Amino acid sequence: MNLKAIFLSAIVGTVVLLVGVSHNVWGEKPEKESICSACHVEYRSLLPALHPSLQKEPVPSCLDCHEPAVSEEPLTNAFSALIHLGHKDSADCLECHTWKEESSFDLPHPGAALGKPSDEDMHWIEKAFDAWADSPYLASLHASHAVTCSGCHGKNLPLMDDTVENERCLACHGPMEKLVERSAPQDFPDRNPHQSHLGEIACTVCHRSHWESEVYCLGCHQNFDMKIPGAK
Amino acid sequence: MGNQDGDGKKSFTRRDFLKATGGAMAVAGITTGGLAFASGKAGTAELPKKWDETVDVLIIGSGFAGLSAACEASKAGAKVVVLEKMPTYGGNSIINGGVYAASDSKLKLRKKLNLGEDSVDLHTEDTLKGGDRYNFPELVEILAKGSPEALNWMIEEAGVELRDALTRAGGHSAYRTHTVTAGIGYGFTDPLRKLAESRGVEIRLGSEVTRIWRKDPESPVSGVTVKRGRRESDIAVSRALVLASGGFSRDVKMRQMFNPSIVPEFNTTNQPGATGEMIRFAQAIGADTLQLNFIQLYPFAEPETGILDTPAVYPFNGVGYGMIYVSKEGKRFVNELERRDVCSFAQIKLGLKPTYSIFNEAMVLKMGGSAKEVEDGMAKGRFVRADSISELAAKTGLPAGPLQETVDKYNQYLKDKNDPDFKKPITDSMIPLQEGPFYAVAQWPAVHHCMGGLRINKDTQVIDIWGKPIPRFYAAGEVTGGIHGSNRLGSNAIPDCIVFGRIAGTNAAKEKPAA
Repeated sequence: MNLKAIFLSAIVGTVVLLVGVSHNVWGEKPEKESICSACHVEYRSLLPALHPSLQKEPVPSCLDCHEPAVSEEPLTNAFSALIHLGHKDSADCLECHTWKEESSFDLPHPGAALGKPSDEDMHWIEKAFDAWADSPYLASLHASHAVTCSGCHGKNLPLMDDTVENERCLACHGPMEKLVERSAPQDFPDRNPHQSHLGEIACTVCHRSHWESEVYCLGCHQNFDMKIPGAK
Repeated sequence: MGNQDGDGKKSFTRRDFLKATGGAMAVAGITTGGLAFASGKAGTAELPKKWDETVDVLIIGSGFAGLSAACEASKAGAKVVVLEKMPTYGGNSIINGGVYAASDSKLKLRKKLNLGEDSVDLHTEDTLKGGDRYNFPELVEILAKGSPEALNWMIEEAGVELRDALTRAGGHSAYRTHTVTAGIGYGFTDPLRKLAESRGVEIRLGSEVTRIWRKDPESPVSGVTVKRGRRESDIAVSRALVLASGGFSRDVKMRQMFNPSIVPEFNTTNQPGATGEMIRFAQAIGADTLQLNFIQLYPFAEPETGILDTPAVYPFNGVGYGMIYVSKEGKRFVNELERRDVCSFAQIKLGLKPTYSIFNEAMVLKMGGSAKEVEDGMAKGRFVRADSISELAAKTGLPAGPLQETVDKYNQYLKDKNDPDFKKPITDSMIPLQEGPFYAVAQWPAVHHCMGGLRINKDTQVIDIWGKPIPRFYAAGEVTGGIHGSNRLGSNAIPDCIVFGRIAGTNAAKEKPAA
């Protein structure tokens, strides 16, 4: 069993734990009790070999260990990251989530409102999820490190054309000085993409998560040898 | 052009009419099937029934002209939004060479550095002569007169810093070219952007205008459609729209439509956004254009890519201090104080790419260069340094004998104060190429600046094809035409943008808000 498979099975298991067992975490009973158990009858076997034993009764909640990651702060190993990783292949958001156009996008319980996407937004959210689940782009790289939507976009789901501010990227990848240092070219220090003659620019000018990244410098400096992940 | 008083009266009448009918927006709102010139679809389209947003002064483009207009319009109390198509602000301005022509300034550099005389009249005359008098004197006068004041304004209000140097550049008959300390346009755009933002200006990046709205040939501009990401929205202008969207040097097709000789094989110094579509959208609502065939080549771009990097500014700044240009055969081929078009075509006529600028250490600081720039340029292989002319020849591959002969002859010309070969006017500030170290930098022409563009009047109002100002429509900077004629003098671009940008911003803010 490779690492990915371990991860996936771990997550599938946690769903059952959440919905089937630990209502108290959310305070109220979910609207759709069978949402997970409809597919997952038995979950213990889905946990990865390295997962701590869950023999004790009653079974503890996933959320006792894995935070839900619906806060403004980026988290790793968060519950929502794990659960999405486990369902990367089933792209239909509404298998678990509920959505009312331009009114709510929710989990099947109150208190976790994730924004008000329109029909068009949903179309792009699904595409964005696909790129996160499996693509040569940076979103996929984030997924492999268990960084989910909220890790970059915060509490609410990103709507169509929402972008990510530099501070958000720098929360994990910063501070800027560190990036400047890391990207300083050996040969010509003034060809540093993170400290250029364009001043402070958006990270997303070059680094795009859900589609192809692009070295903006090359738009003019065609002979520069510069490469970034997620670009051609 | 001109005919201000009559036009002013007419536009006042139109405004009155609009006021009486409930204002431009209301008119737009109730109109069905109204003419909008902005479409390729047989010229008819309905104005947006509902606008997503209304702003006082909407500015298209975030370069020198757009930022200057934004600074002035916001200072006058208008709510200002700047739309920038690219994901970064600044357009060509932020990567520009950072040189600014002014006959004077509060720094009094000419006097301080003992570099002779200059005047507004002389700057005006040089500019007219350099443009073969295709330029409109009343606009050139505004440029030359406004340039020192605009420079002082940037120093005082925005905190722009200049180097302690003044150069005489091709086509100028005086030492009047100032260099910003940063040595690149960023040294102007950054303080201007900060000034604009401190006054409440909002700069929206990645926001591409796809249409300008105007009901009919008698109406003011109503607004624009903007594409941001995948969404389009319609923004109404309450006071005015200001175009400051630059030229079209990066658009090979458009270049060739007006000047077939600017073939695709030419490199360009321009950033990818310089594609000229705003000129087309303005034409679509009746704006007049002129002289779109006048497209400038920058004679000294980096030969392989056409980049105007820091070393590529040296050939421009060095000639007033004695720099020479030589062909691959080691011979001079032009009066180095000539205009850009002359220097460019002299190279192209040689048919041997590239050519070289030759200078020595003593010229570097005087021409506004720096030791660091020289070292950086050396490291990148752009500058070649040698202790003797023969060594320089060996390092560049130029023929040693002819190059030495050229230099010796030229040094004698400086002593004689006479250049019998190319009639270069020799000045006392020119330094002979006697003492090393010597430098060479390779150069070749690349498409650089569009002299033609929208027809404007002295108030920067855009003029329509019937000769009348289009109400609530202003333009400034490279998007306009008629200021530089057939050939822009180097370092006249920034003053053009700043002076006319400020006028546009000031006048746009003065417009009465649409009811």
